Amino acid sequence: MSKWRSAEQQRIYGRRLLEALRSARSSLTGPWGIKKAADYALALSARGQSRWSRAILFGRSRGGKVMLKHKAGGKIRRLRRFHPPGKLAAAQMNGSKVRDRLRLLSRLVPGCRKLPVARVLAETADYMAALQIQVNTMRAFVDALSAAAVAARRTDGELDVEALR
Amino acid sequence: MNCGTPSPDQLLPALGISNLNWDQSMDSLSSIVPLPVSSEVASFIGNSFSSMHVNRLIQFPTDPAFAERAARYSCFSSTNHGAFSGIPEVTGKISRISSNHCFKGKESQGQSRVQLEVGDGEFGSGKEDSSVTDPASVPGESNAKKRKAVAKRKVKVAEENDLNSKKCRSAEASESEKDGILPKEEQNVYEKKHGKDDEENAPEPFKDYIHVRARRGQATDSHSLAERVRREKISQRMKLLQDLVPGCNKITGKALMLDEIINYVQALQRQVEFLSMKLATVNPGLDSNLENLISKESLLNQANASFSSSLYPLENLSASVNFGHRSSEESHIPFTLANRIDNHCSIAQLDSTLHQAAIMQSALDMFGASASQVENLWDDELHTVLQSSFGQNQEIGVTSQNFHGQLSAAHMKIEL
Repeated sequence: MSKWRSAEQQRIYGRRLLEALRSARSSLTGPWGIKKAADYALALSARGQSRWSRAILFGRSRGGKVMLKHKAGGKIRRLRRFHPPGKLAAAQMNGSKVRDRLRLLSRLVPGCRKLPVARVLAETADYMAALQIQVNTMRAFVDALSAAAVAARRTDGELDVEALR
Repeated sequence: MNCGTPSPDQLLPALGISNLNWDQSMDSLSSIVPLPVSSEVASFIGNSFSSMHVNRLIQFPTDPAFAERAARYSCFSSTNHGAFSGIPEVTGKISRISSNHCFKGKESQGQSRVQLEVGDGEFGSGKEDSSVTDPASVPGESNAKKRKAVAKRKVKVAEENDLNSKKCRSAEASESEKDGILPKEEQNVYEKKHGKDDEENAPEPFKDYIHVRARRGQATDSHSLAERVRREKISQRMKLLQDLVPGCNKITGKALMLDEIINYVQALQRQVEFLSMKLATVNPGLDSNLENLISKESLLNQANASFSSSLYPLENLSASVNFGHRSSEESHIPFTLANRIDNHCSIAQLDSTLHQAAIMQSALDMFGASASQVENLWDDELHTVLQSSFGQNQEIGVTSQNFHGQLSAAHMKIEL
């Protein structure tokens, strides 16, 4: 998790995101195109070492069923309706409140639905760090782009008085 | 249970028992443990139990459980008999190396045993009268428990006489929090665990098992111990998360903490969505400015690195909105450094982040200003323009860096 703290990681992610944005892929169009691209780039930067990154990366490939098949040894189990045992075994994480929240959290973080509590928390930590990097990088992108766009607009005939302000 | 110097007679029966049954003897010994036993008794015991070198002081060397217990007890007992230097056994979990705690400044490891016993006995007297008076009955089920526990648990006691002192120091701090009187059963478990290692006198290297220590008043079967390990792991992770989520220092309790974590993750995700939408709207301008962006991002990312540490989610959301508005609508891309920086970092980080933010902002501004030029000289002169603009950026960056240590209000408006 400490790797997320490095500026190097941010640069890596920035570059990946930039490439993704550049290549006018069809996935970029559509309502969540950019978000998906950003998440994909983020998961790539994570190198698939964390569960959520793998979930994101492999979630794109043909609905993820292929990977599931690999993992499940050729069989795909049906969705389990009951409590994932991981939560219950969590050293009796006291109370239903905590358990509910854990369930919620595990749904928030991609690919952590059936993990035991310790794993969920670890994945959450990693995911949070990654999200922060993502937010910062994307914000930088937006700002840079919008700045450039504004400048471009300005050259179209706006007054330069604003520049003097 | 006598705290005074027991006569060898008291020990002998114990020894006799021990001869019959290793475990039981250990138990009985541990429970009885009259401490200030004469050296002869110690040697006797030593000889009978292990080939450990005998010290002057009492030595129950082969019983690391002893040592540990004694160490722990000594923590409480005022009479911290000096040499708790070496606890033959070290728990993998540093936090539980309570015995080492008592060993501070203890010299020889050989002596450690002895003192352990001393402390142990004293403690035992205070706490475990029943066991003391009736050692034989103690083992009873505890033995079975021990064996089961030992069998199930992946704990291995490492005899590290030489490492004891080191562990002592390392465990000191951690020990202070685990001031738990070893329950009797724990001792038993301990003994049993150590029984396997009795042959080795030389310190063993740390095994990569998880050393678990039962706490006072808690069950010592493998299930509860494993559960405790799990619980501690979980609490460790929760603390980690607490550091990640800004503003959660005062929050105690898992439910509230999880609440905060969930809110934070959701906020971050919402931010990502929002930013992606924004990026989509700005995207048409992407192609023309790609090169700029590349060079820019490298600069910006340095700033981002400092940003990322402590940004409150909701504030960030508003900040990003404001920022975007400011740069795009209010046409703020002047050459001035009058940047409004939405900086919600803690004051401690304010300086560094501010400066970096200033750099970023200035870079942004410069870039935005020069972007017009870029547009005009797109194809061939792009690189030269980029160089110049980038150079300007760097210049500005440098100048803003000169503000290190001084928040020149004239130049920067900081929004906290």
